[in-house]
Amino acid sequence: MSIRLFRVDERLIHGQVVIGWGRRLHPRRYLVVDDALAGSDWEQDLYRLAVEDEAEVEFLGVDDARASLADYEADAVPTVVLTRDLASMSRLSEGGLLDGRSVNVGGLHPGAGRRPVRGWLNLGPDDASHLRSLVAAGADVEGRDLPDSPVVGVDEMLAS
Amino acid sequence: MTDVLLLTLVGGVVAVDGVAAVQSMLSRPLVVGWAVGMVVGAPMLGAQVGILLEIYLLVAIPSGGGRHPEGGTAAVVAVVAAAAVAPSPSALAVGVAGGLGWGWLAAMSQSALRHWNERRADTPEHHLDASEVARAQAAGLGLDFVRGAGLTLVGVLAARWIGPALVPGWPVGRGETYALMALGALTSLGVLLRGVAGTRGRAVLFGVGLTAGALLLGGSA
Amino acid sequence: MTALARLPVGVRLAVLARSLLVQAAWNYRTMMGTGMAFALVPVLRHVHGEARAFDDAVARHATLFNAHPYLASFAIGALARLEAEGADGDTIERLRAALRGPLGAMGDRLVWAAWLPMCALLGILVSAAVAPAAGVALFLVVYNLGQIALRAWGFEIGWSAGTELGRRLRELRLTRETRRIEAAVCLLAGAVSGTLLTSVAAVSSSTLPALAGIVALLAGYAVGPRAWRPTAWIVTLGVGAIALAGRLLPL
Repeated sequence: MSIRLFRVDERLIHGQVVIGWGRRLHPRRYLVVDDALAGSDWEQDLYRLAVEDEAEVEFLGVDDARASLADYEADAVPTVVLTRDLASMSRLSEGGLLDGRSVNVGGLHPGAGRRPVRGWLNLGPDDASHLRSLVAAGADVEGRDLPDSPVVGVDEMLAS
Repeated sequence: MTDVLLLTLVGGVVAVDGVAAVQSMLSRPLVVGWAVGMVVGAPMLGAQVGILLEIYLLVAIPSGGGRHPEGGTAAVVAVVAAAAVAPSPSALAVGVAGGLGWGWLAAMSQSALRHWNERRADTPEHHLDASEVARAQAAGLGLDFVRGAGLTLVGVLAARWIGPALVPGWPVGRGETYALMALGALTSLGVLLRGVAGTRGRAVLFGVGLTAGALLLGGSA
Repeated sequence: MTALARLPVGVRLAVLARSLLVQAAWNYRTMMGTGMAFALVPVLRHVHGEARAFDDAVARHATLFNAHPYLASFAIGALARLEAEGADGDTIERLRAALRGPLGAMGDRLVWAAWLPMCALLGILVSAAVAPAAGVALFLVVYNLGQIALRAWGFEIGWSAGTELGRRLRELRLTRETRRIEAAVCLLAGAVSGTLLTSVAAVSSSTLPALAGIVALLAGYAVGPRAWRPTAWIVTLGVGAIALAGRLLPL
């Protein structure tokens, strides 16, 4: 169980993740699963700066991540898996890959057409169906920005 | 009366310098303590209060969203409280503690201003144009100045009462009082070092500094 | 590209001056977004002749953004470059998103945890050893030379790098510079601690306060940032309680 956290956060590697969760989970690797970033060297360079000497950062497209998730789980490097949106996390979970795992939803900013659940948690029109497929794939979904914050249940995210 | 007016203006300026504009550190307690000491005619006491508050607040970083005691307005209030009575370690202690307490109030008012600034910020439904951006900047700066000035005015008037009200019956000796203030400052230095020390080389540097400080400067603070 | 590299001096200076106000409208929703748009206005006016394009550009820079206020200049330079090159809105938004994390983290470590403490500790030592006015002046001059240089240099680096800012920042090895400043903080914090400990010992008849001072220093180091808030409260409330006790109880 090298993967310590699966998290959906638009900001990816930033203070809340590196300090808030990082000081608790001590990851040595961040695996960013995102199709656009996997092919963009300049963006990867920027995201890597936030954890320069503390951890390595790898970028994979969703399909590549699905193929190698078991390898990441098997090696000994403590890892945090990040996606920018629920769509990518939901694709990652297809076929039961995240069955029984906890999936943390941590930072989705307000935007046009997004519905606020909390200040830091705003869901777009398609997000409800992504949440349902994550649950259907066996993932245990929770909303929480920081380790010590109260949990927002998936029922509350789907309600209203 | 001119003193109060001048200190109120100083409070407005250092509030703005703290986060909203320039961040030249004119607003650090080290600077404000000395300057306010000059204004109220107690330059050494002002410098001492400023140095102690500076050490206390060194680890309270002035980043945009953080909530920490606001050092600038706190230092104005601290020096006025300490200078309202005859110089003594108890005056120093009451000043520094009063300043820290006032700094928390100031932090709450900063937080309120940051919420108020949301009204003029971008929303998904309404994007800003250049004149709205300029107005939001001007409103943010103006309100921050008014906030700092108002807070300092009330703080200065309260401090003139707090000093004489709390210092005279002070039941603890000179050495113990000074030690109490130094203990807090040393804890703060320990916290600061936690972020930057950790290797053997750094520990050696710290040791060299400690020895030099003790031998060369001991007793001068 | 060569024509682009020549941004008029007046525009550069206007951006530098406006970048001093990058946190003027700081708020919990868009953080320094409004200030970023404000700082970029001279560049946007220069490169977008047409009113509609200018308005769109202002609007996209006024959305959520955060960084260290001084290191925001790296972002301002890089974003100005993209606007000048006519990059599409999506690329600009992706650069803004990718810059939000690292510039905050690097600035906190370089400026708030190293440069500011180094300058302040130096000012404190000179205040104590020479004169308060000398310490204050030295602190302000040294600190602000660094601040202004960092802002001006940041804009130039950002402007010349554009989307390659991540690679450039890594090559610049700011972390290495940060480590040097941190080493100076250790030395100066040692000197201030030594001064405090000896002056505590000097005003007291026993060695107990100085020993307690060493324990406090070690405790602060052992507990780290979590120790700070309780310490400030204990001092504030402790002094208040002692003063009230002296006032109200017949001691």
